[in-house]
Amino acid sequence: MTFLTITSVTKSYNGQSVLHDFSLEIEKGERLVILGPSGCGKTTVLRLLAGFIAPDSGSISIEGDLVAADGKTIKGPEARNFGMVFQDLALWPHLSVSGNLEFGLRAKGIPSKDRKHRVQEMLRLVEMEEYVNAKPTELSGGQQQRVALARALILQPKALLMDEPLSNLDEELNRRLRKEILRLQETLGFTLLFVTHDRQESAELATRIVFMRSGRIERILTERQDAAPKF
Amino acid sequence: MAKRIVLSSVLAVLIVAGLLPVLAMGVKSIIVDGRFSLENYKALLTLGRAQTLISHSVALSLLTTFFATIIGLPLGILFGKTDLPFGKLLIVLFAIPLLIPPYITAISWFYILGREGVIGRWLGPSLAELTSKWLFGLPGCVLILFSTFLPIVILLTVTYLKTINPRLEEAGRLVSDWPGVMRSITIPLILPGVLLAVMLVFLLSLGEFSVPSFLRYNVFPVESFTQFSAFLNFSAATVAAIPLAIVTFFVLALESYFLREKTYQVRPVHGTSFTERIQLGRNRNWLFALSALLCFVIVILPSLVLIVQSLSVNAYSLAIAKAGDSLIRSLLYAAVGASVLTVIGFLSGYLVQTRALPFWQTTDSLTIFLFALPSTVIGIGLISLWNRPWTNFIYATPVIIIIGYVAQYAAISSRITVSMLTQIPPSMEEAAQVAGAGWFRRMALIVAPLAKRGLMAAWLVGFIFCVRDTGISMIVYPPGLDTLPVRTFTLMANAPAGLTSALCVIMICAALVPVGILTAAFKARML
Amino acid sequence: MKRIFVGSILLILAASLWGCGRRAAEVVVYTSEDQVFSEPILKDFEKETGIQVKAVYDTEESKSTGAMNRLLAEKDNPQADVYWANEPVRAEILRQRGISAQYVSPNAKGIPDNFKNPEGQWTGFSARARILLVKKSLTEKPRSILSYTEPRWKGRVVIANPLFGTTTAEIAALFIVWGDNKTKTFLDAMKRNQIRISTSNGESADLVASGEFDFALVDSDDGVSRMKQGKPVEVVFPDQDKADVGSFIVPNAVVFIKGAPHPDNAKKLIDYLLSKETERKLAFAECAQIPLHPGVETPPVVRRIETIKTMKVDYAEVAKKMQEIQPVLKTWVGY
Repeated sequence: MTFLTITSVTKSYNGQSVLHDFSLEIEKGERLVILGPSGCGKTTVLRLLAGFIAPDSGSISIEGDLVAADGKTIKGPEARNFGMVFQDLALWPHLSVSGNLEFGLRAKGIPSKDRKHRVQEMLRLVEMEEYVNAKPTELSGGQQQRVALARALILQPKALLMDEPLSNLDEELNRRLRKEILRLQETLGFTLLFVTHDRQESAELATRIVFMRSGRIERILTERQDAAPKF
Repeated sequence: MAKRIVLSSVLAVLIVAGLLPVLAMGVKSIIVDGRFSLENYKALLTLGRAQTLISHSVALSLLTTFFATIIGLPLGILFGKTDLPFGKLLIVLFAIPLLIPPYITAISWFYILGREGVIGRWLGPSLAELTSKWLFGLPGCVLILFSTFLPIVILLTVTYLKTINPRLEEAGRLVSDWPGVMRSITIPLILPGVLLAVMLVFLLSLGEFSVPSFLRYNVFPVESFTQFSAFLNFSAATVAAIPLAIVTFFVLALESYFLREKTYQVRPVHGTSFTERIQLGRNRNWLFALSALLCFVIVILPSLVLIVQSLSVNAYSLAIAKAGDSLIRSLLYAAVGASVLTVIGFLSGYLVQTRALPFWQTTDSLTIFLFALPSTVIGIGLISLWNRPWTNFIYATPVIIIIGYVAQYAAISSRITVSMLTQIPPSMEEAAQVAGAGWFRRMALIVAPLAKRGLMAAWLVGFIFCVRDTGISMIVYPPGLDTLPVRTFTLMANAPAGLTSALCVIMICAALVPVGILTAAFKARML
Repeated sequence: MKRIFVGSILLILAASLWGCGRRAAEVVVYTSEDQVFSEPILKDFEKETGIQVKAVYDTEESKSTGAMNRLLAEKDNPQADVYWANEPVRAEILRQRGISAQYVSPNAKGIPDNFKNPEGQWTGFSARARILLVKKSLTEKPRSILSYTEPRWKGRVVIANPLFGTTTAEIAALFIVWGDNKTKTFLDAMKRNQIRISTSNGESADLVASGEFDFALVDSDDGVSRMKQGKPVEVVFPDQDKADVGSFIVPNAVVFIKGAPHPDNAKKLIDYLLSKETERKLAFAECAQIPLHPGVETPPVVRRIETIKTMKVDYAEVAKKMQEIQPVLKTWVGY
């Protein structure tokens, strides 16, 4: 069974068509990058998958369950068990790093001791343990990125959605974080859905690249099975 | 879904608190002697001087709004963005006339400019004759309403200035000096705040009739209401509110066309680098002198006159004896009112800002409509609706006053919330959604804390409006449970001279002290 | 956490609000008589009877949207027990609209008949008289309200806006005692004499006190208060000669409200207000009101009702006439 299925989805804003008859199947465990220029609709695909918007027509299923169809959201973002890293990171400034991470755990009703434990673990995984009580505003760009990742992953989501998260970072940081993401994906085994306009990022991260333009898929490239990678 | 229920009930509350009473009045106005009749409306239109009166009303409002904006905007920038000394103090001082019923300001000017006022005693009766003529007419009304509503423009300007992303200005400063940046970047960015202030001042001065009434400047509300209060014709009182309602709709339509679609860049993360203050350099001194002079003339001078007039130990002990209980009640009712208004306003503002449900626009328009309605109409409507044996547990208690406050002032807390929420990126709430939080949790743990500043501002402003409210309280207060402004009014007729002034001074303090305490706490906790 | 804190504060505040509820021994009175004068009387009642008085006070007549409006609005579910009016026309309006109830107080005995409703729907007490407040320095003093039309006082006279209050009532009374023609002629003549229209009796009194105008038709308490302030003015009771109409008298009036929540206490309060002792207090107070019971002690500045020639009118008729002459008055004022 495919993990995620997007079937013939159309979406318009203010009369402008953003996605047209868009279909895509995503396998469990793959690292899918949606690549395209601004305005091509790639962020819309991500937000549809996350559940913030519903398709005007067409449907979206997760593991066979219909979560959105014909203009209606059947399962909202709270229920889809995805993690997401936003373009502006959206770290809550009034909560500390641990507060940010614990938030989702509290929502699930997980008791305090377990929460603390999981927060510790997660921070260790992203190498941010000393910053457990820091406020997001006290962190550097790269540190904030890692916290955002940790927050997204602490709930053990089935998939991680990332909306151009690396575009504001310098070359060095970008490369390091790409390695981080790869490492985390291998360790935790989530499906990665990564949206970007940068070929370099996609080259390194993807097992499959979906090229988009003007609301449609131009072509899809798959990583070849043999050792020498890259497009 | 919890969100749908809660947000719908906000609209329901507004309808029950505000719209239903007004509709009850509207129905009454078309029923004469038990039959459907448009008699009252005909009487309104044939009111010979109707046109003059309406044009007087509009002239007063336009002039007041013009001066308040032309002076308030630069002052707001001076206090909020430059290194002008004593900026914060000046803001507080300028705000004083807003905290008290405008009638009081009119009285203090009467003590100065009236025939037997200060001017008359010091500079001779002929000059006093002139100033008196000037006071009792359009200039006097504009002076007083200007003093009263100027702080709205200043405060909103200062508030919106704080929300500008400093990067935007810094980018501009690289290529231009401050005046240029002001013109092309800062002012356009705070424009929604300024326009909101303009709208508020216009509507408030349009609906204000205690000042023009006292100063005998014939504006529409005055003529109609005094005539009808002389003959106790409620339906006609409602009808008299119609022109005001029409103007309100018009202003609302303008505002929704120009303002609602505007979105501006937001600060990426809450509370990062604070903006540097503009250095005024050589201009500092004369700008300060000018601001201080204006403050002296429109705030300190009238207040001084009141204080001097009240200066006898007797007056204050008499005032406390006669009005002490109403003072306590004023503060109590205002605190409760402000709290309720903040909750309703927060939810309503959220509804409007996120357009969560299809009736968001109706909700917003309803709050503004109720805000602009004269308190007489809302008050009498409340009586008509709630004065029944089975609702006595509400009507015969101060709860009815709170309902009146909610109806009249919800727009303010709602709009303050909206402007606060505009500064919060939607991704904040979305991240919480993805983390699995339901609506209540998101609102309580993410949205509300991020909007904390706006909520406190909404509470403060709500408190001020409730404390100074006279119209609503006067009509619906349960016997024996009046508020300080009402008590002052009723004591004013034939009271010994010092007593009135003492009551006014007490009213000013009553509003200032809690505001001062809360503002200090507010400033201490947030940056 | 903060929500709980805020919530509990709200609850405490709400509870304290609710706590201000109704108690057993109380009476609710709405009054249009200035609080400064009415409150002491009501407080005395409280002290002497132990019944708590809950009051709604009124503001100045032309600006008032308080007590009267409330009474009318609350007609179907009365909250008030008693209404203390400062002139009888309002009491009449209440009777006409079915808001008053019958009660003839034992203390009403002795009050002249034309100052009370025959069925006991309202009873007058402690009155003001309509008088001419005259500049002391005048060599010739006006003796009648017709003086308003005399050319020697052209441009030197003022009257309060006849659309409100006691002035309206008086003009309506004139329409009754003089007839339509004579009164309309009178109004026109005043206009031709360049009469100035002020906003209230108080303002008229001040204008005469400051010397700007020679005389004005005002209430007796406005006159007395300016005299007490030491202003160079004196009070003249107009039209006292045999053939004249007399001074228009404006008594306070007390009304028993139909459906009053505390009827027994209401009656006690009414009895108290109509007592000779109350009239005595009000005569000696700043408002200097004229007792209607014979033989009540008064200070020298308050004339006894027996010594004044009063205008004999039926206040019920006056109330009706007031509503009829509205259009005439509106035109006269310049609407």
